[in-house]
Amino acid sequence: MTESTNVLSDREERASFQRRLLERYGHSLVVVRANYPGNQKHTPDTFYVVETMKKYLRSSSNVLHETSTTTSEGRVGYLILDEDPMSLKRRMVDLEESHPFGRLVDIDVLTLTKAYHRSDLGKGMRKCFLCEEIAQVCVRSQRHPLHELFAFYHRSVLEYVETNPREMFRYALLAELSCSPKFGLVTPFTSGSHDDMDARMFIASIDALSPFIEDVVGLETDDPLLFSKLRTIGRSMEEAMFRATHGKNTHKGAIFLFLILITALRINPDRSTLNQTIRTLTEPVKEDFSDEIQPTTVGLRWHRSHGIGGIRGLVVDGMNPVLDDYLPFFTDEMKRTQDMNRAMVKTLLHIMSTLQDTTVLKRGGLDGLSWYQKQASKHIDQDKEAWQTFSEECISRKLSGGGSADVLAIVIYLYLALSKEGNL
Amino acid sequence: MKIEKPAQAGTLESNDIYVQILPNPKEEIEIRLKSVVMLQFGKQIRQVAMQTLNEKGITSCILNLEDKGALDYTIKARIESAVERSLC
Repeated sequence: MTESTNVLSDREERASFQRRLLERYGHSLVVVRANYPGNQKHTPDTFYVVETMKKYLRSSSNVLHETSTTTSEGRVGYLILDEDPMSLKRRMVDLEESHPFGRLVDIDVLTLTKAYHRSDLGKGMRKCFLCEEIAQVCVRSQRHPLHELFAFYHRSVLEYVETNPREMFRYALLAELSCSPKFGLVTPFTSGSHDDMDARMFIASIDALSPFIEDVVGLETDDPLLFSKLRTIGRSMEEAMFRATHGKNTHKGAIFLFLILITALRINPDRSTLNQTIRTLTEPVKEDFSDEIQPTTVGLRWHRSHGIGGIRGLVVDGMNPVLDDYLPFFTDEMKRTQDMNRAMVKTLLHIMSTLQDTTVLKRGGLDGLSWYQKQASKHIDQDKEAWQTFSEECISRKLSGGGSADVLAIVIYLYLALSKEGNL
Repeated sequence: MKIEKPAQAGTLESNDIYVQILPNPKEEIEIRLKSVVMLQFGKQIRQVAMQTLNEKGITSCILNLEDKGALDYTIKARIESAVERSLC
């Protein structure tokens, strides 16, 4: 599946897909999608918002069947519910009016014979984001410049996310997943170089991991056993991940990086000395590199044979490249263009070109890594078409920079954490 | 050119327009419009519709439009694809 660019034909196709779902499953169909302006509605913000609302609906309803699509309309969730459509519509309108993301989504309720509308409940039409006018009138008259509407949406999402480390964790990982094209990695549009994985599996993994963040932020930071307690939580998270993915490694590297980063930021939120805090906190990781212990992971084996440190090397050095290079690279791109997907792709290429990514080494050896790094460096300032071609080459060589993607996710987390502290 | 075969395009979603094009026994163009923004934009929508039919060389049809606040380029694109589907 490739990315479509035609929102009009995507919308027609969705209407017939909805009809097919109702013909097959009956009952009531709930469709959740982003209430987002413009012709390219797939963004990290809309992806996160729709997945968050789907998660809420799943937890509060009796879902008989669920599926999703990602097109130029962005992420769309379809849930078949065994519930009276009229009371369901009432519940969805309440949600649109009361949930923090209510106005950022459109939630439709349909049956085979009817689409339920706000007017069926005696409700008026929805208001615009930015003024008191009816939304459809503002859209029709193009009253507000698109960049103001995009900025409003981004701000609304971040205001909610930044109140809660668990949501910052979910946002960072979902944003990384949404990013496309992605050079052999899994996106909502392709499984990349991974025949045995897809975006749905990554989302299941993210949802299984996020509750543990409450445990991480509940630890006392002056506890002498802090690091061993983090390791215990990390092991439980790996088990939860493998349960959610039926044994696939979707986020093992990310778990390691996030536990350390989240804890280090709690000890010391000051960016200028954070590297020191990370070095002190991860002192025990150095034991993993000791010659006494049999290497147990790909990263450790490569360290033993070639002195390549992988993400363990990154943390025992205090994540310096992340703080001094990748993060400023990302925030500069964001400031320049406000296009977060593009900023993420470029940052990922930059990470890929410099990181000794052991997931690339595992499949491609030193030759594969050297090719991957050189190509990444060459493609940083190219356009989407060139990125697509490079992605296809990565897939034909079965290469994918899983370690680089994990690092991109923590760059996004840092972007959220430090912009909240006014520390960027 | 006369429309001989019914065809449709678009959806009833917000900011879209549902277009049905039908043969007209009276051999003229008749536009029937329903719109959520009729008061503010009814006249403009009719203009865009008529202009699009003219550009396509259509001289006879019934055009049913159910508008949910679509922009001009959406209205134009939906009518064009209804015409193309009718002619193919």
